[in-house]
Amino acid sequence: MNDENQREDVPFEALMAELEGIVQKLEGGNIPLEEMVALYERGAYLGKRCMELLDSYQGRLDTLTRDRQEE
Amino acid sequence: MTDRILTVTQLNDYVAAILNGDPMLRALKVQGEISGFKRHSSGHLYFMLKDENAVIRCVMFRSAALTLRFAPQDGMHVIVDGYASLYTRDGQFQLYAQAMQKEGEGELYKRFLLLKARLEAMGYFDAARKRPIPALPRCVGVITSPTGAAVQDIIEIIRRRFPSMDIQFCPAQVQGTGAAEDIADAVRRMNGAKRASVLIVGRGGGSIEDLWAFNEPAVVKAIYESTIPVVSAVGHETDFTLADFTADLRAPTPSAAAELCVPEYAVLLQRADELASVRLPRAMLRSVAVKRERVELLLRARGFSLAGHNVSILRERLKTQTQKLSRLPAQLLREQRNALQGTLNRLASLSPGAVLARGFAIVSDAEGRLLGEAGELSKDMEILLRMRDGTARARIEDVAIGNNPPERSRP
Repeated sequence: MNDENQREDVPFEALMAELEGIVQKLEGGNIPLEEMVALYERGAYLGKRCMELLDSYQGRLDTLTRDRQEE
Repeated sequence: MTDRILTVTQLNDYVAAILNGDPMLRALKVQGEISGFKRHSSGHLYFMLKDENAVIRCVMFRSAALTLRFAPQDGMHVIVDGYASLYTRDGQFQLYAQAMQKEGEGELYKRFLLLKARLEAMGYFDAARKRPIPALPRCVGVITSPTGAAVQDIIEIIRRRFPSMDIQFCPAQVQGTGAAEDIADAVRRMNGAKRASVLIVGRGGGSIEDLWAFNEPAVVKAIYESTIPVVSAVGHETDFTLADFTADLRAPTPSAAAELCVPEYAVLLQRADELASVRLPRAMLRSVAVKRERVELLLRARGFSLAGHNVSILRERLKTQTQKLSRLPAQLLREQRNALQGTLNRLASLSPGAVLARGFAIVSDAEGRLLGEAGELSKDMEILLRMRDGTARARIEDVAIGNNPPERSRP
């Protein structure tokens, strides 16, 4: 899906906000079954993305060095 | 204009004499920053004194140097007492220092206020330009001295809050000559590397002089022009430098900067887990249960009078719903399938076809109107009996209300 690719760089907080919105909508009830299933699928995807994001860090400590000679 | 031809010595002597005759040049107080400082084996001191736009060579003879109460160093801001003249031997205009003192805190603070006013007027501190710090950075950039407590504190706190956070460190000189340019250069290189999504720029505590590099226009400009948001972390809580005013966020200390930039991994994990693994499936289960209840209510209300046509529509809808729910996780799916299967079974058992299959007949009058009670029958009435495999036309002989069948009448 196109917009999904664009969302690759969407930060953690935005993903969480969307997930929160979906959960609240489902908790409210009274949604047609097709929409319910679509929301659940989107919610499950967002949850997975959040976990992936949290797990994507590698604990690196790199030093940025000069590329010119020291005087 | 004379035709007189001078020797170099004569020229230099001439100029020196002019300078020596000027009362102001005989007794000077000059302030500036020391650079290129060298202590000769003779005990004489040689250095440059500079400000933003100009430089002058200085010499302090051994006899005067002995009276110094501090060790001069490059980068120090000092006030020199002395005289200026021309050294005839090399034609060099220079300042002869007879006394030297460190520029007072008061002097430096005045200079700080002047610089602050100037840079503020140029818009470097504008609130409108300040960017928000990312709630969860992809990588934290750290610009500070590689020695000292600041870098250790920052890294320790980052690791404590978010152990796997990626850090990019750019060491820089944080005081003395060249420090300002070094810090500015580090900010620019971080921007060029494009990995960090927030920069911590700072150093540990010190005097106004020690922190001076962070008041330099070069540093202010580099921070202002940084596309990566900058958190300044200079000195202690009460220290304010111009870098702090330009930064997108000022932290009172380097440790505080680490806390401001990096959230706690455990907290984020708990939030995400609660939403995705608890509330989401629970809400879904509840919503589906509500839907299922509604379908069952519908079936109960209609009972036997369901036409085969309506039943098959409902059966189709339930089948589609089951298919859609098959995309849910297995556990959820199993529960729902069982519930739906139960409903389908009850539905199947209620359908007329299933009723007939069990050996019952559907009774209707000659016009096809369903008869459900014995009370609707009368002697000699013509009725139709629809059975599993066919239909019969019959005539009522006798009717008995209640559990016992009517007696067979003897012809």
